[in-house]
Amino acid sequence: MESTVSVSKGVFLFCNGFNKTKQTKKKTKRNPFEALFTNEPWYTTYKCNWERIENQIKDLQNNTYSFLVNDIVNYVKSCEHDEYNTHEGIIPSATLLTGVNQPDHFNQFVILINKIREDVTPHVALVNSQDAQTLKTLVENVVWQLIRGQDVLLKKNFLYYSDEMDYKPKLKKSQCTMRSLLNWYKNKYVDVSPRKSKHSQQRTLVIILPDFESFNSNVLQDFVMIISSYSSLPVVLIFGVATSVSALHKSFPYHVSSKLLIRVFHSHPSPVYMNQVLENIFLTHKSPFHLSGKAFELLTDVFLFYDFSVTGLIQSIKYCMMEHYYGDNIKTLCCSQDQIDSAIANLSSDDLESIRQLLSFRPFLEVQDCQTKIGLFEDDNFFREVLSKEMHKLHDYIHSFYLCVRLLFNFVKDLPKNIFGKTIREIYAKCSMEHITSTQPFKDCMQLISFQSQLKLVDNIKNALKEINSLIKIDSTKPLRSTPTKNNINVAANELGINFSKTIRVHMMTFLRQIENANSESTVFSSEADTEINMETENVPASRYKLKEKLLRATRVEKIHSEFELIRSRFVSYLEEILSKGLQPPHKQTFNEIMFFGDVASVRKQIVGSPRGALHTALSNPAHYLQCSCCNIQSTDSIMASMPDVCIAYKLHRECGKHINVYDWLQAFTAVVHPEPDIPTDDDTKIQLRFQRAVAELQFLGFIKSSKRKTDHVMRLTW
Amino acid sequence: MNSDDMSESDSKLATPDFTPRRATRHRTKPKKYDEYFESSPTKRRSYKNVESSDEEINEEPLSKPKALFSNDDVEGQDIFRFKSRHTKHDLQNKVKAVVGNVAPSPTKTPKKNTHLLQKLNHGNAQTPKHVVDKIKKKIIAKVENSSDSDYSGSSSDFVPDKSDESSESSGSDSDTGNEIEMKTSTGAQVARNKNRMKTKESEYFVKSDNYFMMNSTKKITTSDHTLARLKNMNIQEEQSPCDYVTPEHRIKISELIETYGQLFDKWLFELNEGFNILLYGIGSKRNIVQRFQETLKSTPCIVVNGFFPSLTMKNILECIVIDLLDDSHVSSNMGDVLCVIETRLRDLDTYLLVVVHNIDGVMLRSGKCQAALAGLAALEHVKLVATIDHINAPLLWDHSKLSKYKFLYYDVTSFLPYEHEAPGVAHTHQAGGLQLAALNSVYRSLTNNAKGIFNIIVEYQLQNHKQSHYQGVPLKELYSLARERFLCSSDAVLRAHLTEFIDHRLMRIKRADDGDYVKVLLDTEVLRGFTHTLLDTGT
Repeated sequence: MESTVSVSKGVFLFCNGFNKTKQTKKKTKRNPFEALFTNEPWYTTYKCNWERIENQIKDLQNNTYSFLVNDIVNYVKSCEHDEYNTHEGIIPSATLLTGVNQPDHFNQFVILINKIREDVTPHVALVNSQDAQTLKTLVENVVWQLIRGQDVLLKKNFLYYSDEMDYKPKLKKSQCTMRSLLNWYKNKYVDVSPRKSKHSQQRTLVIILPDFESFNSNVLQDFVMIISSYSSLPVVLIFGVATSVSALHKSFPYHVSSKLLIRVFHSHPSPVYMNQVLENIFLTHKSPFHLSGKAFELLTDVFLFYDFSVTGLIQSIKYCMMEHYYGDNIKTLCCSQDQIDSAIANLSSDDLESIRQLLSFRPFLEVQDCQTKIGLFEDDNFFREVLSKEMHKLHDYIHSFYLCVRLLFNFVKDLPKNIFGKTIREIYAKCSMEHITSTQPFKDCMQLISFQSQLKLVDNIKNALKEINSLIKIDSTKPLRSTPTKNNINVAANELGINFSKTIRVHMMTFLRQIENANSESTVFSSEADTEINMETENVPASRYKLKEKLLRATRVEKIHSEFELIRSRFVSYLEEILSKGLQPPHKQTFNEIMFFGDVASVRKQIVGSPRGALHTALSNPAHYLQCSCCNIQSTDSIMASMPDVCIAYKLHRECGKHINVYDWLQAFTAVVHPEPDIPTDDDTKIQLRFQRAVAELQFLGFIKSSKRKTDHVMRLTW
Repeated sequence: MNSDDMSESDSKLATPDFTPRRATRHRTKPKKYDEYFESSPTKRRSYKNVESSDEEINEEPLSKPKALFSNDDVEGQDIFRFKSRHTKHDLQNKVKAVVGNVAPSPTKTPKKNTHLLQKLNHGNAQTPKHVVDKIKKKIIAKVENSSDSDYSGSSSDFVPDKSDESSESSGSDSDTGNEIEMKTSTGAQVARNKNRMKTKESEYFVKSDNYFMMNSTKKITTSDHTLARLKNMNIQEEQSPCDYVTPEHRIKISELIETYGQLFDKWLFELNEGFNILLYGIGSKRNIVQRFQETLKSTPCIVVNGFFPSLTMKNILECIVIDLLDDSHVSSNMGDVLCVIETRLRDLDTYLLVVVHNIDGVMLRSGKCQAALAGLAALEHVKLVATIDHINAPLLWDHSKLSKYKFLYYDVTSFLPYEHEAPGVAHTHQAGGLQLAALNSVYRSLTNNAKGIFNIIVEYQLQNHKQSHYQGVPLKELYSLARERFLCSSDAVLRAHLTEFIDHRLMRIKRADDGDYVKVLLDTEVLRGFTHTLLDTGT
């Protein structure tokens, strides 16, 4: 410990055998952080699954941003073709309204840059505000990146680094000025031999400033003015603006903004993107890993109430996944369905034993007869067989669960009052917490559906069919799992899974046909009734009383159920039936612990963290951490002499106002610590020392600070 | 507004005649506060239930975090509330309650305890009991009457004290009365809780005005005692701070720390996956981090003491770039440096562990430093393990920094003393001692004549400092006094001596119309302590 304490140094280096010139034997090196886990089965499963998810996310990002990116690229292209360059010194610029969650936008800009490189010009520069504190650094960075063109990639681009970076810059950064840029550009494009002098060879220079608000506005103003004076350079500016276009107007006065030709582009708000990520990647049966309702709510809460950052959300999910897999070999079963059997075969008998310990195994066990029970415990091979069957069942269940969630969402989304919320994730969270079909809100919803008009219902059913079809289409590409042959344990196995969705499709189609056909009769009836009433009210304009009576009578008339209504009620009850079958909550399923992650409490501490709360608890109730027998207190207010000194001092200071008299504080401390009337002086100094230390620690923690307003007083800084 | 009014209008608003929008806006606020000032935890929990059932009925529920908070959280009321107003006696009452609460063992007679209590009373304020009583009753009446009083519910500590004191005063002031008092105060805990329930009449709504009212009084109402009352001001710390921990706690602490060792493998896994580790909780965490660092024998590691008073970001970067990577030059541009570090580390195929003890240290608090550290932490080949101690440390990071840091929070409360992080010199108490020590050492190096002159000035100041507008010793008078004792022969010699004192910043010469004055710049208490030590040593 002493090696890192010094009065003259604050930074210490431990080389730990690190050799600076070691370039040759790369193979022998291993990542020491990974070394511990590389051979563990759970780690390989985790790694493989996470990589899959990461790729999916990347694809999704490309898709979501592609629309916007294409727009911008087209705009840049059009600038290239001289459409806008008619006026001298006017810089075409695009303003991209990104939203406040800036760290998220990095990927967006990376995609944009790649696209521009591909389609328009190799000369793109992206400069963050922290790299451009002054005009000089800004120009240097911009020019440097523009000239290096293809071979320089984004600085700060840690995720998508490429290896082609060579570290012998041909020109020094200090030489990068606008003049050198101009010369370079002339050499490269203007003064080339005539055979190349096609117009399209004149490449645009794109400059991207992703965080407009963080820039010093004076620097930006000057920068824009300088660029506009170099009218021979075809520059296009792209600003990433987090708030609104007015930020642009505020930081640019007229003489600057008149040099800019601004076009505004809007990107998606981040909740939309979050919903997309969740719905397309995590809330599908294809995802190998599922979050329980509670964990899911935690993560969306962090997103909605703390940071609005989708990257943050993905990182949290990643953390949940890490937590799920960490050090637990039985989680190797948490993989895609076709790998289960091999994963089960690889389990050791210890692993099997820990699977037997799972909580959800018990209810399963209880319904078995004696023979099988013994078999399950004694015979590993038999257990493996059962396990495989159950895992497949679980996958089938997950398949139909998500189908039902989507179906429910489809029918419920535009009901009045939004009982279940407006997004799939909300419905998922509700469904995975309880058996939703037995709750009141669900019944309300079903009732509302049974009032829906024919048109609406047809629409909804069509959408539902689309959903099912897309699901089945995906699955039909894969070979269907052979149905278990000796299926004597549970006959219900066949009811879920793909067959389930197929039957739903058949039923839905028949209902659709029936409802469409039932069309005529009911509408005729209702329209007749309507016109009748209308006619009569027009005939009797004055008497309100009579109208009221008429209406009353109309309600009393026995309603004749039309064919449509009959079918509708049948449809609703069918819907209820399938949903109640498909929407069993996950925690009721056997072995759900393997696929579903639910340990919210531990994850919450790591993701959210509560440094303040921990300090408070430790100081007001030290027994919570120490687990000692001496400091048990009834309420958090009480003090005991046996507590650590800093706790006592803390509790006493809570009784004081804004200013604390150190002498009084010390006296109180002494009285608590040493409640003997005749204090020997030697002890007294010791107590003073203890007090001093406690006060110093409180000051270090930021609870108090010394005050000059009155002698021997300290200020209290907190609650 | 009165609370009854509130709840009435509340129920009105909740009826469906009103637009749901308005209902949501007005609905919870007042309720929340009166429930909040019920401080028993069971009550508060029931409030939560009420809240959730409300939500179902309500037409447009405001979306609230569902899983973010759980019941075992620290109540926000405890951590983030307006500072409650305290009186002089709160501290005293508290101590009384504590000392009283110590279950009287058969060996310890109540007489002893009461003696102590009396002593305590004696030590602090000496207001007669009946006066205190009267004032308290007045205050309570005030609180109950005026609804917008500035007493927070949490300062309802008055009420149990009242019961204490009234029972105390109901008995005579004789010994028997004191014995009764003992009994009541042992049961004070129970009485306290009961009384809490009763205080409901004194409702308190948080209004922004109250904050300003609370802070408007410039006067500090604490007692005027100073540390000078202590006899031994210049104590030196000899013992190691660990000695103050009770044996049981020592065992428990080492057990606790042992459990944190089990997390190390997990940290490795998490660091490997691109997260960084942030440790919090009271107690020095150096030990734990050190042990973690030692498990990584083959990785280069940089340890930064964030609490080091003259640390700069440049030090850290230089250490990495020059010492570790053998580069000769550290660019002034942060982005370039990070770029260099990352590429070099990748080329060498090594990972770098950066350990920052107290990433919230004084020298690292600037936004620039934190941005640089965040940039460093975001590098793929750099792994960061950091600790925080300050309660406001999380305020250092905005979301863009946090997204770079990618922290995972771990609570590693250890209760170990901050040996290196917070050196014991904390406040005026110690500072006075320091001044005294400095004075003594200067004094010892003086010649005898100079000592004599210094003594004259000090004596004069001690005698006369109570005069209003005390300016110092007039130079003429000082000269005549010094001449009387044969300490100096001329004005020039005297001035030469004085120059030495002034160079040591002990005194100052002040020019006035009627000549120069010499004044010692130290506290009277320090001077008094100084003369005492002179007498002790006999010089």
